[in-house]
Amino acid sequence: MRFFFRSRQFKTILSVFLVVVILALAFGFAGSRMAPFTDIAGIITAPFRNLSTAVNNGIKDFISTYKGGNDLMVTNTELSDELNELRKKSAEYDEMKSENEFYKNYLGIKEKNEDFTFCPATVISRDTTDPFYGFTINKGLASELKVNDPVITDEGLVGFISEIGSTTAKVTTILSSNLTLGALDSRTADSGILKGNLQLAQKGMCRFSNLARSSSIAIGDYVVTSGEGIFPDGLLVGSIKSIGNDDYNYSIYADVVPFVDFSSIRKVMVITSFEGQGGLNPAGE
Amino acid sequence: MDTSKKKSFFINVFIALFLIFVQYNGYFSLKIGNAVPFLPFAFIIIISMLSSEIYSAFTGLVMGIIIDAISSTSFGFNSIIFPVICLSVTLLVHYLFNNNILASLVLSGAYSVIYFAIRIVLFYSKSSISEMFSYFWSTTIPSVIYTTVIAFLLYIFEKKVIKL
Repeated sequence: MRFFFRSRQFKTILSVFLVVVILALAFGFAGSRMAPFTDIAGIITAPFRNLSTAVNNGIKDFISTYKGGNDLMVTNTELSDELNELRKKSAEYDEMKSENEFYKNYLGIKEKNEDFTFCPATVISRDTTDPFYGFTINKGLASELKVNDPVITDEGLVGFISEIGSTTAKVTTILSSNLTLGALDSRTADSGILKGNLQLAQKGMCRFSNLARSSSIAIGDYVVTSGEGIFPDGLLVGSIKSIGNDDYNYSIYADVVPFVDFSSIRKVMVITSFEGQGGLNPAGE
Repeated sequence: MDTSKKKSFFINVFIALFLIFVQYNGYFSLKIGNAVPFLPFAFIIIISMLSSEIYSAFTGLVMGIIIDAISSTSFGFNSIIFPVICLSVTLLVHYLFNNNILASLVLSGAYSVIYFAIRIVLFYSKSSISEMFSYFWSTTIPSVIYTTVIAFLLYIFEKKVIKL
């Protein structure tokens, strides 16, 4: 083994490794940018990921349409080709309809918040080993996205952009323990801090804590962003599922089920600008 | 590169891409309960067991860069840790272990534990210690076992690929 460590091979490996470490750390600490080699890999793999996402969506849509009309297929085999054609069209129609619905719902958010500027994006990969359901979207610096931009769906808040490359960006969800955001109970206006943790993330929940003991929050109340931190105010987060006392009995907390189903998100909107943007960082510091 | 090496190289590239697709497509996964196998990781361990030092280090680097571009981990974590893991696996197999199925089980199990433990410490450090331990036992250990089983199957498959 000693010979290997003295060999030219090892010196080559070591120098390449050092370059990778220095670049990764330099870009990581200088504004959450992807390292150039990761960025290039992201650019190269993005079309393949788009393609695999499209194929996946197509198969999923086709199967769901196919299941719905299975009886017809059995009873009328002569019309199967025509039927398949119609089904394809129906799947396309459903997709367009859902896309229209998607944009219509955002139009509602846009009408309520005229200062918001949106950028639509598609989920191109999901990390199944990430307990907080982080994912990658197909937009990046080229689409004028920035680190810490809020990410939403028409159902509610998803998270924020934690790392960005030229054509892709990584999204950290509100289930993550790396994100702290100011939140309000929409009924009582009681304010607190929303934060995820490993145990709750496994149940698809996050914790609304630091609530005054006198607060009158109740199970089923909606939680919205308060506007402190990197998110604009009034974004729907989720509903309260349970309420408890903190370890020292100083305050109470509530476990919140987000409105967004993180495991099945396909399309998101990134809020690229809004009034009051540029508050505290995602860690709430 | 002779024909058989070329063949196994292209088969390995295809397998790597396929495993990355299965791991990160987001619509279907091999998840069983809390256990999620880390397929590309199992693959690089097996490739490292059956390759030279330089080949395994660069395989680790390339796989690390691709996974960094796709996964949720940040700051080039995989680009840094994968080559180190690959190189150390190769050195262990060349100088300490016998290259057999038992070694593939031991190495993939041990390195999966190390990889996931580092990941928990680096990326989930804002969670409490008890949460991290609970996550480690409830999710990481089943995932390590699952990854080891996949590595075992890949080892058998790779041995056949080499013989082509």
